[in-house]
Amino acid sequence: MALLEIRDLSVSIGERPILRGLNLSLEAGQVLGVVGESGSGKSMTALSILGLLPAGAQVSGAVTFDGEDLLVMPDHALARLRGNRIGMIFQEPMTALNPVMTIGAQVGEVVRIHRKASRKEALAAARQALDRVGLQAIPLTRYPHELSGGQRQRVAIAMAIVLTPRLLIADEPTTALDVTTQAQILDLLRQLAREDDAALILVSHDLAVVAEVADQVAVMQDGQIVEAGETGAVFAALGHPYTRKLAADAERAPARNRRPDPAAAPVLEAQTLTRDYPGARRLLGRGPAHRALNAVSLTIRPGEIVGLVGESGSGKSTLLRALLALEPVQGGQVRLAGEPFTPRSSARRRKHLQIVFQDPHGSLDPRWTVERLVAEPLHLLGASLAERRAKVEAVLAQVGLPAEAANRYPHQFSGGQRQRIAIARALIVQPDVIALDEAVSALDVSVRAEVLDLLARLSDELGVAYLFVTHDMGVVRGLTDRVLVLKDGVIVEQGPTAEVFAAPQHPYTAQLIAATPDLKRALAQRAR
Amino acid sequence: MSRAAPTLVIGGAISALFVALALLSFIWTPYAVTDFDIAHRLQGPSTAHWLGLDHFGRDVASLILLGARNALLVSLVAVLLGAGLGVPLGLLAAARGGWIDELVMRGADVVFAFPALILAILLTAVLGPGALNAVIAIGVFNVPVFARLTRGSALSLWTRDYVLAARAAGKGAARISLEHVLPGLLSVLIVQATLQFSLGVIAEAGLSYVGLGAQPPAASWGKMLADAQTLVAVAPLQAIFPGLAIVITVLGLNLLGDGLRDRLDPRLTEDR
Repeated sequence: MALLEIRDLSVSIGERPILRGLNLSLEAGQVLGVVGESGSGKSMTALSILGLLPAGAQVSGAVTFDGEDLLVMPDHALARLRGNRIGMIFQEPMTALNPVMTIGAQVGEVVRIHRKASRKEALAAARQALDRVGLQAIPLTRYPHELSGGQRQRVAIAMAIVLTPRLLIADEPTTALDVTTQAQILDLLRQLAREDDAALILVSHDLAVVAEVADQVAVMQDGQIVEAGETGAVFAALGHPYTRKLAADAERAPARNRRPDPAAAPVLEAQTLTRDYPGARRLLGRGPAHRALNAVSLTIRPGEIVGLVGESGSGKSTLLRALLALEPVQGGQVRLAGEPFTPRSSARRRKHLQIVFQDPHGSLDPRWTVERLVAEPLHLLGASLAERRAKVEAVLAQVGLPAEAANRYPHQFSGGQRQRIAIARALIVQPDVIALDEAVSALDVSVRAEVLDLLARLSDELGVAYLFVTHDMGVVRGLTDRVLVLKDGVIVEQGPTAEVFAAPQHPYTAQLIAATPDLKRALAQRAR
Repeated sequence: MSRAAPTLVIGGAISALFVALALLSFIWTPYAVTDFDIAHRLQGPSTAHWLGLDHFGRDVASLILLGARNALLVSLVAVLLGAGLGVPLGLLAAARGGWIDELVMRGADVVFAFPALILAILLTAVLGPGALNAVIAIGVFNVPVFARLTRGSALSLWTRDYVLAARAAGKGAARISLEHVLPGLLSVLIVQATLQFSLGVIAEAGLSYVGLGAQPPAASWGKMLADAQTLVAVAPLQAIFPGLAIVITVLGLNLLGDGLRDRLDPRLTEDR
């Protein structure tokens, strides 16, 4: 009999159906990947197994785990199950851990609750679990904030596996992590499940991640499983149109017609930029300064799309702020449209360089109408009020939004549409360069593909150059002409994108490329 | 929009009544407070005088109305004074940081270090008793409250991407403070203003109780309480009516503040 059996599971909240007639089964020792875009119901599936659905949810069907129906089980019995025989790992390791408890106490707490173990036994079990997740060198007395993101996620995993549960549920466990860390965490999860002969449910938006890790896959759309089966078979056949679309969107390389002129004068140039952050305050004076950028140089020519890749802490954001002259630099200079650009430069010079941020939710003031938001940089041109509406409508049309959008508020739009609004705001002053700070990272694959298409089209039509700052090697590969790899504040490699991906010169670049989940590569490995 | 919470409805109704009575007193009171009906002094409630007459033979209902006017004016102007100075200072401290921030915040600490009511008494003692000086004394203590609140909330708004976007769009700190930061703060400020308002009513009553607030013939609830104190054994209602007025008003304003806080909580409204 299967370890977990979901039969005809339907969940609705109020009038809204969340899950519609779900059927799934999972054997011990198997890894099931659940893929889908936001709103597909993949997280709700995970929560319904744990009986953690939001209050007021109406549930029908059956979820049988180890012969018991979880849906009819009383709360206290479910509580005994959670953390004990079913372990859960969430996306955000910082919020999943209690900031005021040591990691030893947190992992040990699970043991004390379920096994009535003594403090000493609990800590011993915690030590063992932390060793298993690769934190041998980290003392039990550390607090979450003293650890890196990847280490925190390992602690969260240790909490989930400390009682060797029969079923592990990981909801987007690597989405908040860097690619190299992601690869390690995925390996770890797979290995732990194998060692304990536990089943693992991996919920992810990323087809490639699932293809690399899962034995079985279920593709979800609108609360339904549209396709399920053995991973290799599902991805090789791509039988269902939705699966096919997801796979195509994930690897989208938008067509571009205009090639930048390599001899043209650069529109944006950084010459040996150095940025130091003052050291931590001490009783007397300060600690050693932290050098976030070390002699970074780059050039962007008209119409060029340049990718800047690096993991968190590499100095990407610092470089971006320095290029935008939002912060002073300690050495080197930024030249914009041929002239030096510093925080003291006239605000009008900013019309040459605009920016689009990662989170289209946070980068648009929720109290402003779209017209006002999009028109925000217009004062740089000294445009009159009469021109304003016309310009806003023109630029909204360019990004594929209707003119009526101008009167609405950001919350009335979807994530992809909000990002179009942010792009419209950058475009309205007809800049030479737009910096895109992880501009598609928060979007679903299909929406991301649409936005990438839009960016490519705008570059063709308007000749605008992009500096594409991202940790996503896939996006860089699909869209950029040149790529720069930033590590610890130093550019370790740069060159034409195709060349860098074909033959990376720096070991770090090679590591980044290898760690990036890749659907084709995963399937090729599976076939062998 | 969900249905309004009972606290908001009750608090709002009481506060509205308070304001309405205060406004009414400008155009109509049952009797003039200069009518001394000495013959019937300390008379209990009757159809002619709903709340009776005080020890000078004045109509208590009229005094309560005028007291509402006095409480409203003093606390309203004190809140406006506090917010008018405190909010710009807080915005400035958040926008500029560095020594300006230090100066504003340490200044606020200094004011906070004094027990508010005692210093207010000292201030009015020095400046002389009167409604205007009560306003100044109460207002001074509202300034750091608003400055701190504004700075704290503004600092968190300054880290938002949309503020960064505005900076990238070439807007200066002053424009960003006015266009992005201040509108984002309005809800917290409105809630705080309501609460400071109720504190102002209490402070005004306290000041006039010790004789440093509004001076006769202007009426004040605190003064009425003080006058009634010696007569409690003879005419307990004399103390109960102004006391109830203070309690109900302050309760209503606090309920309104709490209700507004629930309704305007930035964490709830951000995603609207």
